[in-house]
Amino acid sequence: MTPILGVQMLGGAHFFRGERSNLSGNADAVFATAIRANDNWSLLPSARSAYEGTRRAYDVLGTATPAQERMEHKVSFRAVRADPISRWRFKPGLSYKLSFLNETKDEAWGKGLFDERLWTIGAETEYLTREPHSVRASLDWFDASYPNYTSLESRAATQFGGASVARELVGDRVLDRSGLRLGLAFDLPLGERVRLEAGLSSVWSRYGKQKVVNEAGQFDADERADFLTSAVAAARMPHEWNADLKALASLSFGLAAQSSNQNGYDASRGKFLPRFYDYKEVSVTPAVRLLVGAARAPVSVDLSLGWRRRSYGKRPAQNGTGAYDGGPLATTEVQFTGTVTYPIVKRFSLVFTLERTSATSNQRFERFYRYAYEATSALAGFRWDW
Amino acid sequence: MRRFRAFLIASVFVLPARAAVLREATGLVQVRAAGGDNWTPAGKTPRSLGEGDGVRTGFNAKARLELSGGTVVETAGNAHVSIEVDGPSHTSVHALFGSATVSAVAAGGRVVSVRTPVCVVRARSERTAYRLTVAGGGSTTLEVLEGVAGVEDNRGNSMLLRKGQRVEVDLVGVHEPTAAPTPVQARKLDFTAMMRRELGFELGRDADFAAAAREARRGERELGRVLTDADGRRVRVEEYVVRPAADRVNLVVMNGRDTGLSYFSWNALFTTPLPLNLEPVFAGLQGGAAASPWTVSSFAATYANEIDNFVMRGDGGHQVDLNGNADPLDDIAGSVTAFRTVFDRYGVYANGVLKRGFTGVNLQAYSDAVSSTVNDPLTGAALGAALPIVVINTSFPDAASARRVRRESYGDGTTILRESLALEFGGGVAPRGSFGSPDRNGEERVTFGGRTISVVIPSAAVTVTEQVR
Repeated sequence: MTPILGVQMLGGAHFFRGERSNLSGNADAVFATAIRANDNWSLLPSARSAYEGTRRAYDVLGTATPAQERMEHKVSFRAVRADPISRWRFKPGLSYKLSFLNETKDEAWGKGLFDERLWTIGAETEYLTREPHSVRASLDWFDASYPNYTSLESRAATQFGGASVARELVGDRVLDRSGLRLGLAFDLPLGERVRLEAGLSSVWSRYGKQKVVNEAGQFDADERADFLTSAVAAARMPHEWNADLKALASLSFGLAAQSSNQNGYDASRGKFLPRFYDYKEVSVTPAVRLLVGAARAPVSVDLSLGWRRRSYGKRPAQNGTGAYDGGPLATTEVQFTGTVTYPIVKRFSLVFTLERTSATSNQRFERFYRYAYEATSALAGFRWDW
Repeated sequence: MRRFRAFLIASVFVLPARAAVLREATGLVQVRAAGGDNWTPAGKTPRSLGEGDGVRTGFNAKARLELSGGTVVETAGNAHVSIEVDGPSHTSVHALFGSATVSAVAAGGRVVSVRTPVCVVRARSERTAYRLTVAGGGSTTLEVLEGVAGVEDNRGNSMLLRKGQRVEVDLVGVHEPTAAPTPVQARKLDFTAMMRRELGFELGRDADFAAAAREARRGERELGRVLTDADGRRVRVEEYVVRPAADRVNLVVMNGRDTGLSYFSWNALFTTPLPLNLEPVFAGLQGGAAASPWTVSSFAATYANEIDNFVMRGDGGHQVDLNGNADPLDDIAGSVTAFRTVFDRYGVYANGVLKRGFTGVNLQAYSDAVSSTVNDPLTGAALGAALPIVVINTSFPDAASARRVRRESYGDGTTILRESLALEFGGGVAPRGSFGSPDRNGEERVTFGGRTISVVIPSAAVTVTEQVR
C-alpha cells in the first residue's frame, strides 16, 4: 500500500476589466492510496478537494463575476489490471464529484444555481507500444445533475394556474444530463528528441428534460442532445544550452466542435436562432519550460501563449442595441500564462503564477455576457508532493 | 604429427574465446550486422556476433550476450545495444536505450566498458556486476550489484561506485551517488510511478466533463437567464412566448429569486392569425411608415408575483397614423407617416381593482379619450363608487442613479409607484447617464399596498409591447 499526496495552496487576486476581486486563496489537495492486490491487479482509491476563491483565466470569464467561489470534492476508485507479460492494461473505474459554485453574495454553499453532482462509470484500455509510450482508449457513462436548477417556466405552470404563462412540454430539471464520453490518446517518440502526444475526446450529452425549441418559439417533443468533441496534438522537444539552463519546448494544436440540436429564441424580437449552441474552435499554444540551476532541484519557469478562436456557425452577431445585423458570432482569445516554481526543500516548492486573458469578438451586445475583456489572475503560494 | 596435435590442444586452451555469442533470445529479438541497415530476427541461438553488430529487443523480450573473457550482457525488453570492441584485452559495448545487466570479468588487466550517450562505465574489480538503464535523451541510471565500477561522464568527471550504490548521469554530468534501492524498494518505486501515472489519467479525465459543464453554464449566461438585480442578488430570468391560439401570443419574462417567482407578461389578441415567424409582428408593434398587417385588438400587460398583480388592459385596438392625426403631441419623429395601434378602451387594475381608465370610439388620438369615472372601461359594468382623481408625476429622484419614478397619487389616499432602473452588469443600479443604454439590463418595480412587484427585464420586452404611453 503506497500513499500518494499532493497539496497546492495559492493566494491572490483576479482582475476583470480593471475591477479587482478581494484577495482570496485557492487550495487543491489530492490523496490516493495505491494498493497492489496481486501480480496482475492494483487498486487506486483517491480523493480530491479543491477550493477556488480567486478566479482563473481559463474559466467562463464572460460572466464578469470577479467575486466567485468554487469548491469541488471528488472520490474515485480505479482498478488496474497490468499483466507483466502483456502489453495490455485494463482499468475499470467509477467516480462521484460534488461541485459547488457561488456567484453572488446571497448564495450559500450548497445553494448555488450551478452546483453539480456528477457520477461516472467506465473503463480505459491501454496498449503499451514502447514504454513509457502507449495508446489509450476509454469509455465512460456519466450522469450530471443540478439539484438547484429547475426551470422557472415549469414552476410557473403550477404556481400561476398553468396555460397562460407556460408552454406545453416544458421540463423542470432542464440542465440535468447523462451520456457517454469516449476518449482516445497516444504518445510516441518522433526521432531522437521529439515526443508527440495526441488525444481525441467526445462527450455526448442528452438533456432528458429539455425539449427542443422550434421556429415558433414552442417546444417540440425531441430532447436536446449535444456532442462536444475536442482533439489536441502536441509536439515536445528538449534543449540544453548549458549545465544550468535547459528547456522543454512544446507546440500544441487544438480543435473543438460542439454540435447540438437545440435552438435559441429571442422572445422579445420573435427571432428564431437555429443551432444556437453549435460552434467550432481552433487553438494554437506554444509553450516552454525553462529549468534553471542544479538538475536535481532546478527552478522551473513555465511560459505559454495560447491563441484560440471560436466561431458559432449559425448564431448571428448582434450590434450594440441587440439587432441581429452581423455575420456569425466569433470570439478570439489570447491567453498568457507564466508560472515560476522555486524548490525550497525536497518535495516543497514556492509557486508564482500570472495569467492574463484578452478576448475580442464581433458581438457588440453584452447585456448578459461579456465577449470582449481583459482579465488577469495573479497568485502565489506553495506546492507539496509526497 | 604429435607436435601438431599438441599445438592444436594448446591453442584451444590458451587462446581466449574470440567470438561473441547471442546465447539466448526470448520474445522479439533482432540483429543488425555491422555496417548494415536492416534488422533481421535473431533466429536460432546460439548465434555468433562480431564487432559492430547490434541487438535490440521488443516489448517484454530479453537477450543474453556472452562476450570475450566471460563478460555477459543481459538486456530487458525495449533495449538496444551494439558490440563495439570484443578483443582479447578489451571489451566494449554501446548501450543506446533500455535496461541491461552486465556481469563483467576484468581479470588480468582486461578492460570491460559499456558506453551510453552520456557516460562510460568500466569494471574496476575482477568481477563486477551492475544494472544500467538508458532513458530518453540518453540519461543513464547505474546501480552496482557486485564489485566496483567506475563511471565517467562526457565532461571528464568520474567516480567509483561500490556494491549497493546508484548514480544518475545526464547531459549535465554525473550526479551524487545514492544508495541503490533494494529489489523490494525498486519494485515499490516502479509501482508508485505507475500508479501516479494512473492518478494523472484519472484526474485528467475530469477535463472533458468540466468542459461540458462550462458550456452548459456559458449557454445559460449568454441567453440572459442568470443576472444580478439592483440589490446585488441573483435573479434568474426566462423569456419566452406562449402561443395558445393562432391569433394570440403571450410574451413572458419570468423571474426567479429566493423569495419566489415574479413575471411580466404581454398577452395580445390580434385581428388576424399570426405567422410562424414573429419577428415582423414584433417589429411592427412599435409603429412604422405603413400599417402592420397584424393589428392588436386587445391586450393585457401584467406585472405579478405570487401575491400581487398589476394589470393594464386595452381593447378596441386599431391602427392610426399618429403623424396624420389632429394631435401634434403624439407625433413620432423620423417619418412622414407613423402607424401605431390606438385602443378605445383601457384600464389599470391593482389586484383586480380598477384604479383608472378611459374610453372612446374609434379614437384617433388619446387626447380625445374620456376618463372613466363610474364604469369599468373594458366591461362597461357600473362601479360601486366613482373612481378617485389621480395625479401622475414622473421624476428622477436620485441624481447619481439611473432610476425613474412614476408616482400615481389617487384621491382615496392610495398610491401606485412605478420605478424603472438600469442595472450594472454585476448588480446594483447603474449611473444616471446609462439610463436607456443598450448595454444595461432593466428592472421594473410596481409598489402598492406596501408591497413591491419586482421584475428584471433584460430585453426590450416592455418597450416593444408598450401600447399606451
